[in-house]
Amino acid sequence: MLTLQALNEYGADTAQGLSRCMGNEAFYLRLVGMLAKDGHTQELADALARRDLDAAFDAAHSLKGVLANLALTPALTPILEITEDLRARKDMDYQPLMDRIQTEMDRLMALLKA
Amino acid sequence: MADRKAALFRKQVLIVDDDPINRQMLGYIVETGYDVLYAENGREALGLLQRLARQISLVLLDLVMPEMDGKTLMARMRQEEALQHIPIIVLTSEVDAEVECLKQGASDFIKKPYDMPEVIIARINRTIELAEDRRIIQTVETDDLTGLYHKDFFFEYASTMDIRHPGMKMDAVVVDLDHFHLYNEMHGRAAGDQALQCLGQAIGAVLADTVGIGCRCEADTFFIYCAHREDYPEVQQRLGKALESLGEGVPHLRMGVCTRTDLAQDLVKRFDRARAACNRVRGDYRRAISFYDENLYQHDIYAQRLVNEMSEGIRQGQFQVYYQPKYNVRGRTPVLHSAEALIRWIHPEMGMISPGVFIPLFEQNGMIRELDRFVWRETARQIARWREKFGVLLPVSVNVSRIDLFDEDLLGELTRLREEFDLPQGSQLLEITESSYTANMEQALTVIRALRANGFPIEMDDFGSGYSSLNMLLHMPLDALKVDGAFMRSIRREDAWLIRTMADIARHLGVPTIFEGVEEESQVQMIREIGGDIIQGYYFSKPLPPEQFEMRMTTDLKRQAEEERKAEETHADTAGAE
Repeated sequence: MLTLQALNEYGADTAQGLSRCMGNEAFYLRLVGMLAKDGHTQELADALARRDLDAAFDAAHSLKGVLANLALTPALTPILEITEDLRARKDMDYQPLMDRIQTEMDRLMALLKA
Repeated sequence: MADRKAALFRKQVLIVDDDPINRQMLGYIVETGYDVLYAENGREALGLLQRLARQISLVLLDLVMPEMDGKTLMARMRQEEALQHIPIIVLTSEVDAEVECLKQGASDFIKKPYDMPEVIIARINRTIELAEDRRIIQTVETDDLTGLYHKDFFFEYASTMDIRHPGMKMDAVVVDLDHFHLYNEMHGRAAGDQALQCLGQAIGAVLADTVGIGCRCEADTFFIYCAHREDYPEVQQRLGKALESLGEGVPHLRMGVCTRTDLAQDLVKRFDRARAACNRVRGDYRRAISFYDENLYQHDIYAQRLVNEMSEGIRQGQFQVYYQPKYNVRGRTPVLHSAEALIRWIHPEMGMISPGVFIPLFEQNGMIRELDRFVWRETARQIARWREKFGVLLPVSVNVSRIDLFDEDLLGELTRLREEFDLPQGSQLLEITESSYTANMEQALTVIRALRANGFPIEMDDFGSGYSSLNMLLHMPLDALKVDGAFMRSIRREDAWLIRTMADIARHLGVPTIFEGVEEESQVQMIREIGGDIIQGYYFSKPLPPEQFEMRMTTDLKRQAEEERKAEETHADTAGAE
């Protein structure tokens, strides 16, 4: 079961996340849990694979909003970076950044499924 | 109970965000103060808004969404009248988007990631409050029928314009409809309303692309306050055409304009000027516009001077009471019956000022009260003086203005005067105009009854010039009927039946008729023939200052005594012969 402690160990700023849920721990954990069904990471990966930067930006932007609100800092950091690059539609190799994102998201998903 | 009531009034907030986590997180915060509705995208939100427009107090709107994004929804809401007033707070992490959203009409922003919940709730509360206040003001400040401002708001906004743009040349305009009440009566209230609505909208259209505001001030009078313009003839034509489009017989429109008004002068005063200009073309179908000009200005200045100088004039003895005798013509020779006190203003610089000029002015601003009281006192003193001098009590009538009837202590004041000069009841006669009877009838009748009951006979003045119905006349307490002088002047011999009818009415009421404005022998003859009682007018005497009146009184009293002596002699002779 997902716990605050596990999220803290993961590196989340749970104090911030909790305050946005008015201190309701169960509610916060439930929202974090909803990420398991969130398809934005996959959408981002797919869009990058077909070099659709517009779609990639939309997916990154959405993911950024959610991760920021939940204060899931380790996953948020590379997402912030890729969102800005995509906003500028930079012609670059996005794979290394995407790998970092995938790693952090996988770490998070492992927590959720534990 | 309080909770149930609060629940009834709980407001609804619509959260539009495609991300379920963000939506729920925000919803959880907002639910602490509001009922929350959710939509996943702009299209779904628009559907909800169209169904529940009146119930939704605020929209919290994400910008990037599938199907229909936030900006498109904002644009759609601005296009739909029912949705225009609903405030929108944009949810965004993009600083760049803020300016554009503000331009599109967003009220505020909530940043992502979200601030403290307290901050979010405070922003929501504030935005809803502001929008509701604005809505209430919009509803209250404008006239439903015409869409123009109500008078109070109009003056408020006009003075704000003056304060903010002190260098601006501003015009005050009054637009009025001639005989609107007749149009209302002939065509019905709905048609009247339609005419007002049409005119109001036309005024709104004239002002649409200019610096200017309009209001419906009274039933059929509109005010416009706008930056100076030269095209008033065209404006008048535009408004007139709009009215004419309603069909035949629409009321004639007239306009009074006071251009480049003096911003230092009171706004109401500036509109008084425009109104004065407007009144100058009342009933003149050839002219529809009049500008406030030098003539009207001089008239205003003159009127203002009279107003400023009245009280001082009373103190300095510039006002004098003149007396015009009333003669009883029932007998073989006319007998001095009573007199009417009439005020005269002999100004040291302006000379004799006509009461026809200053009385309406003082009636309008209420200063007539002070003048009336001066006349009442002078007259009471005069009655007492003559009694002492001639040993005769000559009743004198004084005017009681409409406004006096509202003085709570009117009876007390008149009674105290009577006591001060030790006069008997019935020596002070009170003239009250027919129009004072008919305006605010209830109040007038109560006061008049009390006056009569306390020994102040009432003469109904200006009878025949107003609108009293015969039915009303039967219920009016009075002791004499004074037929309006203007009536006498315009009457011809063949119209004698009309004044006979008036005398008959008075007889039916058991009171004498007093005919004013009698100037010629033929009129006197006519009045005697129809059985009229009392005559006042130049035929016998113009109004006289007290000393001249006394001379007349002396002659009259002597003549009367002589006639009485002769009559007695005749009587004695006849008796002796028997």
